[in-house]
Amino acid sequence: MKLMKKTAAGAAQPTRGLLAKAIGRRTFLQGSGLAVGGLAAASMLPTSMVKKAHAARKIDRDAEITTAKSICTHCSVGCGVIAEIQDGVWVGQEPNFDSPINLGAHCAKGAALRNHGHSTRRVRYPMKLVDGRWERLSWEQAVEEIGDKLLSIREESGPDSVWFAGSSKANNEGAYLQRKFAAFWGSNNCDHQARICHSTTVAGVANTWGYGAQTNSYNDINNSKCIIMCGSNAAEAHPVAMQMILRSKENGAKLVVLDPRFTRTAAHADTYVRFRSGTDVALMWGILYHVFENEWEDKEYIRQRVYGMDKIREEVAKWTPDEVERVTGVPEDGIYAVAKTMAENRPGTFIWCMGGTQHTIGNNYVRAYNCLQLALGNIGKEGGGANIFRGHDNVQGATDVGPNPDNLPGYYPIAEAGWKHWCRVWDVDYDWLAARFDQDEYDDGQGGKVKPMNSGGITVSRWIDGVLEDKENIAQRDNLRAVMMWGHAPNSQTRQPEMKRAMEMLDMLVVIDPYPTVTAVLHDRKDNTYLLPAATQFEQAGSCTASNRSLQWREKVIDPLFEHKTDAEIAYRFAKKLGFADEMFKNITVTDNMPEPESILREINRGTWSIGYTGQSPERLKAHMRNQADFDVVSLKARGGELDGETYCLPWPCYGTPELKHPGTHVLYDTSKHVMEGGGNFRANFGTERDGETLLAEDSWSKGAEIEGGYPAFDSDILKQLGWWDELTSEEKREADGKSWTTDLSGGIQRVVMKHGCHPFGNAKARAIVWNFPDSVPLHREPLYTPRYDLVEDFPTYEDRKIFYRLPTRWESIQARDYSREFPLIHTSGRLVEYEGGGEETRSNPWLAELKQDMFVEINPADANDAGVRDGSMVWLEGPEGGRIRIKAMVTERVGRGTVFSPFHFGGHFQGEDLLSKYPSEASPYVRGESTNTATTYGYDSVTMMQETKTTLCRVVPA
Amino acid sequence: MARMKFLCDAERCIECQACVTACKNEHEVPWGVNRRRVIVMNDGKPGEKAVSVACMHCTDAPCAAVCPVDCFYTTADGIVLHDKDLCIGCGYCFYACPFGAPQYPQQSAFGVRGKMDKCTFCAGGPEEVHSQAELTKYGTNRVEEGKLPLCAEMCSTKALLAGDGDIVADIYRKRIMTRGGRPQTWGWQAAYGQDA
Amino acid sequence: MPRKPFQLLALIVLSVMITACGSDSVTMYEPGVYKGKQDAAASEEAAENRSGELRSRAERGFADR
Repeated sequence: MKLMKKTAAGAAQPTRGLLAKAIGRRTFLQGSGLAVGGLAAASMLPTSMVKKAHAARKIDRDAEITTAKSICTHCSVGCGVIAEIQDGVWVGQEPNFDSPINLGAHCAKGAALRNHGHSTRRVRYPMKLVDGRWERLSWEQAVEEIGDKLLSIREESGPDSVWFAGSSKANNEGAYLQRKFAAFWGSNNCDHQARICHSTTVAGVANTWGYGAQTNSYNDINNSKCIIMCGSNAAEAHPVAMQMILRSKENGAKLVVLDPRFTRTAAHADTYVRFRSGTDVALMWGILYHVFENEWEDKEYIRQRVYGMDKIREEVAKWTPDEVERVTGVPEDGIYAVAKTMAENRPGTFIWCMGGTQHTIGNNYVRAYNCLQLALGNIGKEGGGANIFRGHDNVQGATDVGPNPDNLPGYYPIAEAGWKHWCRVWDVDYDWLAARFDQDEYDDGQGGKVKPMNSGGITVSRWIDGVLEDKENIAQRDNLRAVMMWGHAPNSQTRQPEMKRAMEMLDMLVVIDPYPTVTAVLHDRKDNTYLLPAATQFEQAGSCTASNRSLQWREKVIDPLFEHKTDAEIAYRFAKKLGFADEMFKNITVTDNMPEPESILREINRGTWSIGYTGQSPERLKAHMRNQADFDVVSLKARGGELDGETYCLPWPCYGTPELKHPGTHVLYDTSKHVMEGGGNFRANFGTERDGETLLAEDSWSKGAEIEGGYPAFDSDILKQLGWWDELTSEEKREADGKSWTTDLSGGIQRVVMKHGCHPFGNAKARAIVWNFPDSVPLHREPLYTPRYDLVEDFPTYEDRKIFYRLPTRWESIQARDYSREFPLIHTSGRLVEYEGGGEETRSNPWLAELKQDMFVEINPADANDAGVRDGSMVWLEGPEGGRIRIKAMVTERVGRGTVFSPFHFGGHFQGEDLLSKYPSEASPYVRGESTNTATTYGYDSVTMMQETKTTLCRVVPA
Repeated sequence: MARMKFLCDAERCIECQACVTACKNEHEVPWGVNRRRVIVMNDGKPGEKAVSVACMHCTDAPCAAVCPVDCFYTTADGIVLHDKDLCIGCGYCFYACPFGAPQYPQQSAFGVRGKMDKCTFCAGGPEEVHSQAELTKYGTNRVEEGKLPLCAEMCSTKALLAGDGDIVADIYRKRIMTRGGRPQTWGWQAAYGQDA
Repeated sequence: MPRKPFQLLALIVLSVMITACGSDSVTMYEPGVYKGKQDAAASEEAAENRSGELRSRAERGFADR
């Protein structure tokens, strides 16, 4: 073995000359990695790969090479991919210069996509644990066994005892079927990554102005004069977005980065402000203090389009510069400079990501950002907006139409009306569907009772409590007894030691994924555990929604490898076994067990009127993909060609039927354009009046609207009052009578309303205060695990709740104890550019894995010295709930004193132990490491059950 | 005559490593060999800058000057290539190169160096164009297909530019004009001389 | 005693090596001269042929559209 070590270390190149001066994260980790991790990794590679100068693929230049267009599956930017295929093998990858979104560019992950086409680290065939060992079985047998078990659990404990994790990495069609599958199974117990990604954003912005999505686009940042990034490290999380950001900066825009960590994004900023993690609300109010003080707010915009700003003003008045400094640690001049920059450079865009969402008061953060943008009049304008960069490639789409526990596709409520709407679309009997659910009633958490069909299911952040909590405390019939992880990494969720326990208590655990994931190895289960190989998105066609709401169409690149099957086919096979395939696939074409993606999208089109997913027919989307080169990079609008005037891939809302040819909406709420050109205004969704004050817009309307002022959302009655009813065809009238713009399946109401230049969802003011949330005015509250316990008295968290998403949820009982002495460091987490999410897929890609071989923690030199830790040494990072991880220390000033940072993509080690032996042979990722979430803690948002991963406490000790 | 050059715009480079993985993807360069890498200066501190570095295909290439077996040659459009059949893996070129570009795949036990491997500007090597031998020894030949190095073509922010020096310089000059800043043509002088 | 067989062996090896110099598979070193395989794609003509395409490729790929 000594011999091996020497040769492995010999592969490391010493850096010389200019290069020797650079000691970065990579040199630090690579050098050491090659000696330690590299050895392990190299010995895992097939020997042929180590020896050959090039593991040569064969390309026959005389035979035909075909190309397919797809979309990168690693983040929400939506980079176009061109794959070259020969004999069914993915032999080459070319830049897609025509795509107006990436112009051919990729980050490390996108440039390494081709590995998905021949990865040998995937789960090759269905497997199950038999007495602790993985054994192969056939798909038929697996579906049979799992199905029988599901049915017997259902018999004993009801449909809610099974919990499904769907996926933000599934296409819209796959994600939609996952939600429909849970519905036809008879439960709302399904969820996906959006819960722990941007759920607070979606709830926050939707309740402020209408839709839960990025208002503008990556491309539109080119129009910005000022770019504020708060809790967003785009250089690592959305690298190709930086192309637009840096272009805009070159054209004169000011780039301001607000972050506790000096990120790679911050390295490019004009202004960087470091503040204490967990204090964004105070920071926003600090900025707004100067805006109001200097009368920089847009008074006319507020009068016309914003409700409740005076209440915000009252709260902001309390946040004097001294108070802001006391809480955030930022002195007055820094904050004043940001406020002045924003005021003098309009329109300005505000970008936030996980740093602004994953908190116990995440919804307050989001709404504080909104208030700042509303005060400056930046929403609904080109170059302005709330540019929320989402995470996974289809997390926006899965949020819009996928497996959500608290709403139905298109954000239709799980109240009776929502279900009835979808039953009409699905062409199934409402009573039949309702009978699939548990009929008993349970505590709704607000003093009433509710049926499970109408109560939000258990979320992905809390499923472990659905297993571990006492049965009497849960608002459903029984504990969770079976869990299906259908495209979800478990190590992205907090409290891993408890998750291990929960997994071990389950009757059955099923993983449906291309890779084994940490779900396969975290626990010590011996049986009733299954791995089912799911195809990647390159092995199927379908649509996916980028962060900017554009629905891009993926062509199939290759057939599924080994025995992998698509999400749609898996849904169909299980539905057949469980006895509801005929109803579920009634109007969907199924060939050879595979539901056709186009026909699934057409069904989505038929039902999602509320968010304008109705105009994006597969034919239109394919035409957009064919004509990518015609679209302008800044406006995303086609100039000439067959799609002249349409916006790239029809960003939703694209109202009406496909035949109506709505061009899609590039910038939401933009009154400077006609609604049929993608214009709009804020949504009327919260009534027309409150406390005697109108909630409708005043003296503001979208260009060309025949109602010059505010108006409510449209239904057949309003159309009749306005005398527009007879403009509907008789066929449309039959369908639309008694319906609203969201439930009229003919699209007639939307068509006529838009013909008159009006917006189907009404024209109202944005709400600066959201009275249906726990804090109607966003308030600062200290994190549950705060390093500033002295501030808890002034800024306490919420009271505990007995029932919240079916589970007891704690806030103040956790904050009651001061941990800051034993655990003095703030622990925050985030992304690395090479990996995505739980990281299993990317850590199984050798081109990426080689670049980052060790899990590590960034620690400030002062803290390192306090703890007696040296750069590159191994440390234990210990969380206050007992979880501890053994990782490498990286001493750097990137983090300030008192804060440590660790990436969340690692897995496969647990509290010092390598779980390699638990993986199915050959399916282990090249790089494994401790999950940061083994050391993270309890804490959930008061509206959405978002987990707290950005501000907790820890201590670091030498290992 | 065109003169092929690389240019990395340090103002745009965000150290995303796309160039590194694009290279791995295109040529299937094995684990441990990096024809291209990203170098960061002042990591984690204000003034942090990153540049992507590979063989710069120097005008008067020092690697060729020191090679004891003269295995290097330069194409008419300025791409520095070498013949792996001649290379003896001695490592002199690595010491001569100002960019640390040459790589030596480990070929057997006892740490014996393999033949030198480096960036080919995606132009293959001295084998029949698009032959299996070229693919195996040097990687694909994009230049013969009228394409440029994939690392640059896939750069996330278009920081890394490649191609005819005049066009590359022209694109870069336009950026500098918009920015109103000083050019940061990292490595250009070392690679292409004073009048580059 | 063992020196003689060694010298004999060395002589044989040397003579074989010298003979090998005449073989086609051995490259005689000449300082500063590349004697590797000829690369047809390195010629003036080949470079000239591809230059136009490479120029337009650079303009298409790198200019901010």
